[in-house]
Amino acid sequence: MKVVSVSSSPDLCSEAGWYGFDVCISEPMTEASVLALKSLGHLVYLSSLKKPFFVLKSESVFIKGTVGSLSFRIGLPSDDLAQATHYACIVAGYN
Amino acid sequence: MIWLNNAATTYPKPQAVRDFVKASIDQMPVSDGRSSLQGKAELEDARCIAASFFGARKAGQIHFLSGATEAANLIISGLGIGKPPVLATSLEHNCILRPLFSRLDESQIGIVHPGSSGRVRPSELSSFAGAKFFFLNHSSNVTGAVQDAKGLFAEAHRLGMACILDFSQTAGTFPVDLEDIGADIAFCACHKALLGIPGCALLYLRDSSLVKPSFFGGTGEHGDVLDMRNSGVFEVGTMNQTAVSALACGMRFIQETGAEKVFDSVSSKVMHIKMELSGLSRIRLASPLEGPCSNAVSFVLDGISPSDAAFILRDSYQIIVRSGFMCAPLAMKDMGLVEGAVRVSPSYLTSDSEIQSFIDAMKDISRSLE
Repeated sequence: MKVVSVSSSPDLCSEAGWYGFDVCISEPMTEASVLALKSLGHLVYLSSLKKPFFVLKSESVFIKGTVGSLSFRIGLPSDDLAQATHYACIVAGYN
Repeated sequence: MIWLNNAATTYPKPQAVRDFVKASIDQMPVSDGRSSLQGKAELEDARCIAASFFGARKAGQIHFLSGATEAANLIISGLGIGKPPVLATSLEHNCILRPLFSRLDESQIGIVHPGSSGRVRPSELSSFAGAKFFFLNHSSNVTGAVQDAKGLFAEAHRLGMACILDFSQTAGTFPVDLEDIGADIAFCACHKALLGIPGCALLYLRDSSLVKPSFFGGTGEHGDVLDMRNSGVFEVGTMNQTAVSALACGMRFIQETGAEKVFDSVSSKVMHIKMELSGLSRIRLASPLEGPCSNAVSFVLDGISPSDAAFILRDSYQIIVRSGFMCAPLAMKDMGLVEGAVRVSPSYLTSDSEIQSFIDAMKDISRSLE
């Protein structure tokens, strides 16, 4: 799986205190790639939803999205596109 | 997509509003008295409808501005607030809180908090005797609880305060009679339940001498007068005629439908949502079940943040709600909601099936958190 794009999220308000980045990927997120995120922080995975939701949180990043989707969101404490791209590539590597 | 963020902006708009706005771009420009009589007539028509709708004695007590934030800033800068402290509730929106805290020392601002019902008791005001101005949000954009504005203003007047009402959330969802309530000054946004479009707010001044104008410019009248400080004129520059006339269309829609019917419909949808949410595990309502309310219902979920819940609703169920602090930081602090809340808000034009889709989604989410 490849990272297609990483861009600043226009949805500023809902992620108060964080800088959001929207990541597009070439293949849908899988459950395996979500579960692999555990190594990065605290993972909440709601597997029984019709589109299983995940959110990974640590002091330095959050990553959230749904299984089967071609995108996910990254949040950082600073407006750092390079760092967001770094995390996007890590997630893509798990997929 | 299902839009359940109507406490922010209503969507969809009535057909008459949509038709008017679409047609307005093709019309020859009009403005308030300067380039056509039609523009003047439409403006005065909107003023008369608004006066009648909100119990103003005279149409001239109604002024149109570009938004509630402009109105709030104009009021606060024009009141001549000096040393005496002002009083505001913790339920105020940032359109009031930020101008107050940006213009005054914190020591000059008294904050009165609501009780567990989400409402401020008139008896609480006596602790703030000495304040000259009292700012009241008629209905919190977080909890939706409607305040006893008449009782609070009677007590505030007894204590010598001038009373300023933000009725952005009740305008179009709840009966508002500004004269009966005893508001000295009031303002509301017009793109919410009044069904207009962004770019228009309504300012009510019981007496225009209460507030000094702080914006000056062309008015189309008395063009040779340069000093306008005591003019009592608040509508300056090119009027957003489309937004004002769209507001008139929205208010006419409510009047023709029947205001009582509109208010009852919104209230019944809100109560239905609250009853359903209150029966779900891992969900805690931040809005009161009892008492009069506008269309905002807020809640939090055990196990996921408000922004995560909003993300799930949008991404998985195509439902748009509001999440976060909702520009009401003191209200959130009162309730101990460190990450804010999720707010769902229907309008008169929200269908029953859209509300059912939301309830079904919340049942799914609730189950997944168990």
